[in-house]
Formats: sequence, C-alpha cells, structure tokens
Amino acid sequence: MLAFLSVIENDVVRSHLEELYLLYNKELLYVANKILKDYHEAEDIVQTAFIKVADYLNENIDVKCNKTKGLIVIIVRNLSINQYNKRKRRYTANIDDLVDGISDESEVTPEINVLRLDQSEEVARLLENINEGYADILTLKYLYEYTDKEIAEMLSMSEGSVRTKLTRARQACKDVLGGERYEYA
Amino acid sequence: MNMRDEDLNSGVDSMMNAYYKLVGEAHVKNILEDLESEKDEIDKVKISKSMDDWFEKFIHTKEKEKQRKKWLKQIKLYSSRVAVFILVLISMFAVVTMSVEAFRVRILNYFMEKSESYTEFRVDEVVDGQSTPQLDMDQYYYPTYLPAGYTYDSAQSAGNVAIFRYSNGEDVLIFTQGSNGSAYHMDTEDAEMNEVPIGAISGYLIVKNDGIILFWNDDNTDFMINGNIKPNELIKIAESLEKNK
Repeated sequence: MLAFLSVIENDVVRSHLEELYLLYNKELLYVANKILKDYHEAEDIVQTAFIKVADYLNENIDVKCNKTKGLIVIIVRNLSINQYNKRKRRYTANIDDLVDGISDESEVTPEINVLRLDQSEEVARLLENINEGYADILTLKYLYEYTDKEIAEMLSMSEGSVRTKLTRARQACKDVLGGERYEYA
Repeated sequence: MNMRDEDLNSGVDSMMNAYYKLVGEAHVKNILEDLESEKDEIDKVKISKSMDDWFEKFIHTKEKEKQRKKWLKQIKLYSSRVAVFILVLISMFAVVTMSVEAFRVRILNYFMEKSESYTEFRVDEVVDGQSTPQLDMDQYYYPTYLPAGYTYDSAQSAGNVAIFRYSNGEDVLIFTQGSNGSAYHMDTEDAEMNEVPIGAISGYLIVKNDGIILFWNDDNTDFMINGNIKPNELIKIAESLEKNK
C-alpha cells in the first residue's frame, strides 16, 4: 500500500480516489460482507463501487465529509443487496409485496411536513424498514441530485427500475408522513 | 382543476422535494451512526493484498485514461491555437509584402506580361505567322513571305513613306516603301552591287559586310529591304508583296 502511495502524483481525482479507498475500505467491506456474508463477493462489490464512483468524483469533492462517505456506502449497500437478491433468486418480490400495501392516494398536507421536520431521521428509519433501498434512492435523487440515468449506472439497474423505485419510495414516504406506518417509529 | 389547485399542487410538490432531501440527509446521518456503532467490528476487517493490488492497478488505469484525455484535449486546444497563429502570420506577411513597392511592381508586370503575350498571340495568328501592319496610309504594300523566325515588329509612316520592321528576336529586317521620287541614301562604300530579277522587274542587290540591301521599284512605288539574311530570301520577300485592301 505504502509503495503505491509513494507514487501519487498531483492528480486531484486520483488522490480523491485513493483517499476514499484508504479512509473507507474497511467500512465498505464490512457493509458489503454484512449483507452478502461472503468476503470475496464483498471485495468484488467494493471494487465495482469504486469503478462506478470514480466517474462521479469531481475536483471540488470533500472526501472526508459525511455526504461523500454516505454516497459510497449507499452504492456499496445497494450493489450488495442486488447481488444478494440475485444469489437468492428472490429479487424484489417481497419488497413489492410491501409496497402494494401502500395507498397511492395518500393525502399529504404541508402541515404534516412542518410537524415532522424534526423527525426526518425517524422517517428515514421507517422508510428503511419498508424497503432498504427506498431511503437510498430518495437520497441519491434529492440530496445528491443525480439524474435517473446516473442512479441507474451507479446501482447497476435500468432507468425504468430507478423510476419505479423512486415512485414507490416517494409514495412510501408520503404514507409514513400520513401516519399509516408512523407508529412503527 | 383550477389555477388555485394547480398552484397548490405545485407548492406541495416543491415542499415534498425539499422534504425528501431532508429525509436523505437524515438517512446519511443514520448510516454513519450505524457504522460508528459498529466501529469495533469494522476495525477487525482485514484488507487483503489482492484487494490493494487491484486498487493499485485500477488507479494506474484511471491515471492513464485521464492523461490520455488531457493529452487529447491539449492537442485539440493547441492545434486550434497554432492554426490561428499561422493564419495571423500569413496575413502579416501578406500585408508587409504587398506594402513593398518592388513587389507591387512585380505583380503588376506579371499581369502586363500576361496581357502582352495574349496580344502578341492574337496578332500573330492573323496571317500565317506574319502580321498585317496597320498604318494611316490609304495604300501600302506588305510582304506575305518572311524568312523562318521573323515576325512583324512595328511600323512607322511619314507622308508617303512607310517603314516596317520585322524581327526574329536577334536580327531585324527593315522594309521601306515610298512613292516614286523619294530620295534614299544608302551607304555603298566597299559594297558589291548587282542587278537581280524580282518577278517581272529587276532590282539592285547591295551586299556589305554588315548586311544586305535590296532596292527596286514599280511604276508608283520604290521599295527597299535591308537585313542580314541570304539574298534569295530577300528576293522571295520582295516577290511576295501584296497591297493592302
């Protein structure tokens, strides 16, 4: 490791990538291995995540900030879940069952949002309980402001799947805010 | 749906988007807190050498890819700059060169030469390699035969006397004609003079070291040709005379 660090050049993106690797490689491997229960598969997922994230690093990124760390963790986690679902051949059927129970016509008023602004962490937890990927995809879309196409490339899924998942995630969020599942928080 | 409903829905959408962002921030915070709570387990994770080796290769590949892109970008940038520089340089040279008088004169001469060549060509084409002198005289004679290489050069007239000049580039032939009674002064010192037939009439051939003269006349006109050619050629010229129409 030290050997190749010694040849680091003044290339910003390269140093960002290396810094990302050095800072978070253990955590990323841990996240992937926790889902997959397979160290070698976890390594593959982490490698894939670095390949994907390399194209989205710009010169102004702060590698040490929580937002950057959150991004690569979300990517690793989703890639691991995808891999896990492929392996188990269950894919997202169980998740879809959960979503089917959510009303499409939930009425959300501005007052409800105002009332629960300080409870967004609980809302995020609830979303994760409904589907591990819902909070992730909302985060990529609205916090990181990636396009559907970029999210699809990052998470190795089709744009159609991204749009479907986003629609369901938004609906689940509204449902949570409407109180149907809020008692689980 | 009326305008008020549309505005309300738009406002709700904007608020929800902001709320999703807030949920996203909370989600990232949750993820990091979860990781922090599992720090002891994370610290136990060992990174394999194969993983480090892969990353080293990956970084190297990305570096090469980036260098290549940078290189191509620079080439594109510099090539356009070089093109502009060359264009400016050519423009500067053109302005400087054209402002030099000698160059302008040369350019002008070039076009004039072209123009003269064209004129000469057109004139030569009129009568089988010869030319028809254009004079302000009502009537005059001109030769329809010229020795090889000779072409019409110029003509002069004064009163009843006309002088035509022919040239082959080195030597000249002078053909002079005038009404009877005109006086001609010829240098015949050390010259040999013989009477020669010219068609049905006769003339005088005067041969000197530096040239030869043929003099003859008909009822109205006196003729004289002098040049540095063979006598029989002079006689053939004399015999080929025709009157203008």
